[in-house]
Amino acid sequence: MVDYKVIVESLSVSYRGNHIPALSNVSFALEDAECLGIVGESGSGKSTAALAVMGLLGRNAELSANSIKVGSCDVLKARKKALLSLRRSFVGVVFQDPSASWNPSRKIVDQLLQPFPRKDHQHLREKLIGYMEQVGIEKAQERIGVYPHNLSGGMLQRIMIAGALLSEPQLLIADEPTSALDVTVQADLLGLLSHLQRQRSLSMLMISHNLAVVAKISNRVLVMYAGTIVEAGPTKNVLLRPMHPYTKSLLASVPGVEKERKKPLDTTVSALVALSGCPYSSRCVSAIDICHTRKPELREIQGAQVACHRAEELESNSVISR
Amino acid sequence: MITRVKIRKLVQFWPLFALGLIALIVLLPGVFTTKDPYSLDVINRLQPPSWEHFFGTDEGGRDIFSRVVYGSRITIGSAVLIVSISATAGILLGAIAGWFGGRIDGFLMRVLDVFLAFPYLVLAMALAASIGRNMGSAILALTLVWWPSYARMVRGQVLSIKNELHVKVSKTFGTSARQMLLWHIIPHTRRTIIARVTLDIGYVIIAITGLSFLGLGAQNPSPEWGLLIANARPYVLVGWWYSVFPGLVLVLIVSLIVAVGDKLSKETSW
Amino acid sequence: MSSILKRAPAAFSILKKKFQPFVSSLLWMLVVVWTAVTLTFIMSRLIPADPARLAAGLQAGQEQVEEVRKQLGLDRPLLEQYANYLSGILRFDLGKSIQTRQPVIDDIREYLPATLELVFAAFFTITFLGILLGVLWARFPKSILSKSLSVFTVLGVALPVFWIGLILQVIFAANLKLFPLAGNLPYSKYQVESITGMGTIDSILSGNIPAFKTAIFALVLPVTALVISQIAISIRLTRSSMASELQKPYINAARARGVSEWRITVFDALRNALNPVITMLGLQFGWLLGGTILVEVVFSWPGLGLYAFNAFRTFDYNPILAITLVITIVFVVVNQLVSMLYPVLDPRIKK
Repeated sequence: MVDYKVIVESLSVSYRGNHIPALSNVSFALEDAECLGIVGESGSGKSTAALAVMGLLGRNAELSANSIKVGSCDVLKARKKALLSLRRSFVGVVFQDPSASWNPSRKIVDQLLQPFPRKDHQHLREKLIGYMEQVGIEKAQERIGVYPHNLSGGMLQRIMIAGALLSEPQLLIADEPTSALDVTVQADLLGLLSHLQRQRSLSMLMISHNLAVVAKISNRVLVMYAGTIVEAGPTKNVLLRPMHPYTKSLLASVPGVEKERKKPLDTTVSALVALSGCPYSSRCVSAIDICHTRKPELREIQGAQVACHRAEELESNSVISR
Repeated sequence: MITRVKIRKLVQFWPLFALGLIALIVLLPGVFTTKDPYSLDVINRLQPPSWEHFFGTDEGGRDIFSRVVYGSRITIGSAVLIVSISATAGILLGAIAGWFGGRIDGFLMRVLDVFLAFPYLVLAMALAASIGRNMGSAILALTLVWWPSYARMVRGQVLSIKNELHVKVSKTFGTSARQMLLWHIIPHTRRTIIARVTLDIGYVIIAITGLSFLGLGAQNPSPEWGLLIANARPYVLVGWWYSVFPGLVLVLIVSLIVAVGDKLSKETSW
Repeated sequence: MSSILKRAPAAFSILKKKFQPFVSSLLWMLVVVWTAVTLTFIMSRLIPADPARLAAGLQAGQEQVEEVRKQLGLDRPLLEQYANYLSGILRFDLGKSIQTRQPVIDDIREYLPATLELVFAAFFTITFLGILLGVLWARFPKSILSKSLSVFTVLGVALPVFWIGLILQVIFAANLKLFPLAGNLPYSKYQVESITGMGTIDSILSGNIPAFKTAIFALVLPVTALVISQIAISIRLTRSSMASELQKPYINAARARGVSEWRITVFDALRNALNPVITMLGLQFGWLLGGTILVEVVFSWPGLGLYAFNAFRTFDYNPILAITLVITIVFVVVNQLVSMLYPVLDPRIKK
């Protein structure tokens, strides 16, 4: 029996004011002690998916799903108290921008200890110092009582990780944890996350626009485009034998490699999303008529799932050269 | 053909219509009333509202509605005057302070801080005591208190643009600096200033009616709105219409102006 | 011994650095006040009417007027008058009021508390109620409260305090007879001793509960008028500041940690959102002082405003100038205090 930490079925989200939905009918599951990477460019819906899992979407988000289960809790139906206790004890979140994810006028330690009852603060404080040392922060004792603007981005992220671990969560959600950091710091942080995940057998959702980041740390990968999952499978499979044209172009867009593309990869998604048929069809090199009219479903091919009408045929042709 | 789309497009421009209506009342009061706001008719004093007198009559038998209509010229007119002068002075001074910086700027900012929220009422009283009670001293008092906010706003803009221009200016023209000031800053802040001006006209109307209410501004028999309400005070129990209607008109007009100003400050496309 | 001497200049410069900001703002306050004093003096000498004649009375003969002129020192050269004026202020001598025939300083002492009672009651109400309503509006934007607030705040700015006061007076005092028509606590009627000069406090100090009730009721209408005229600004500003603060990423981060929504609103968002609100409150205090004068006139509240108004009507210029001075000082001090609050709220600002 596989123990699932997160089960999401048919999640759709749209933000008020945008006629293109942020997520359309997305389903995925996260197994125990597994690290699932979610990759996509900005606008693909990856962050939305992760936040939705925690019920953290803003007021102007309209959400509908068959079910969202985290652990044994049904997030859709849960009452406020249940949701709060879920966040306090089961899940830890690491956010993207360290300079914006902290309240500038409160001390770090106050912010991290805020959800817990006063009586636990004493021993939680010590625990936090311990974790901070584990994640590689020296002089944790001093650093804990300072304000966010006194610390560097890398350090703030480490503290955020330490704070996320404070409640001994079983699930860790990392939303672009390294995007706002320097490359060298990025590598360190990733190593830390990877290490922690293995050491504590954490289930982890790792979201990034950077395929390399996701590849390094995840067991399985979801590739998202314009609010839908276009490919999913074990990391090795997706990286070494990508099947969806988008995945292929993502991999091919590593700097230094010249590739033939219909449109440059860095235009925003919303401008080019096809409204009927496959959302990638307007940018796809291999699109044919059916791609523009009928939306492809995710289907199982060679150990992974792809949403592309031409997956098998392109696979056998091996059109894309490395 | 009046279609739904056309109506919606027209409705978008409601601020213009509102302002136009107000301008019409001020400039062509004759359109709205045929009665003379000053003519006395003591036999008909303190009559309740009727078809003949929409707002009733006051203690001299004068038609209150026409007094309100004509009073708009004084109230709104002087508000516009006050805001024009203080905006102009404030913009100039703020631009100078921001541009030249240094001690001039420091000095101005201090002066500004003092004036910025000074209770204009007190100043108006002191001025009125020295120069005399009339619209002139009221206008002077309010102008003195209102210019700082413009100076501050423009100064801030100038400071931020100065840093951008600095590089270009120091490289190319030296004397054109002043022209660059005019060409860059004014267009950039135009929107904020116009929104601010509109809002301020509303606020100044409240201020000036307050001054007239106390007797520091308009004097009898002027139909200025604040003065009207002050005159209505003794008769408040026998002639409710006298104090209620001028006040309602005042509230409505100012709400309208402020609403327009609000809309202008949020608008980004013009 | 020599080591102390060596270290002295360093220590001195450190002291100097620490006190610098205080000293410079103190100096600046003095400059402003001095300017106000000088300006009022200039204005007092600009009046078209003859102050000696006014003091002597319109019936007085020429000789009497000259007598009065000598008495008041108005025949002296201008500079000497100025020096006397300045020294008088330092001695708290602000001249005599023609109306009350008392030294102005005594008049001020007599009338000030009633004004303070109004101002404080109104200011506190505006601050707390304004912030509370603004926060509720930002937190529950779809509630009935929020919808009615959005209508109220548009109208609220347009309501002149004197008209609102008048209307309140007519409806609630004259017609419904719920509140007194004018004035504050009638001390003699209730046999309350005048300790602070404020009806509410004095009746508590005297243990006189019916008097306290009357004093409170007397406060209601004037304070309501003042509050209505100013609160719209506070509510709107608080709301927009809170709304933008609640959008910020750190709020979501706190939510993700499992902090309850109300805790986030109060302890995280509010703290950061209050900055512009406090600035505005500082400004509003000044506006409130002006509004108080109007309210005192409408409700015949025996405070400085009414005093100034009467003085003004009778061309009694000593009180007018004195009040201008007093208000300037109060105002400058309050503004200084407000600007000292910023570093407390935002630790990022270096003192």
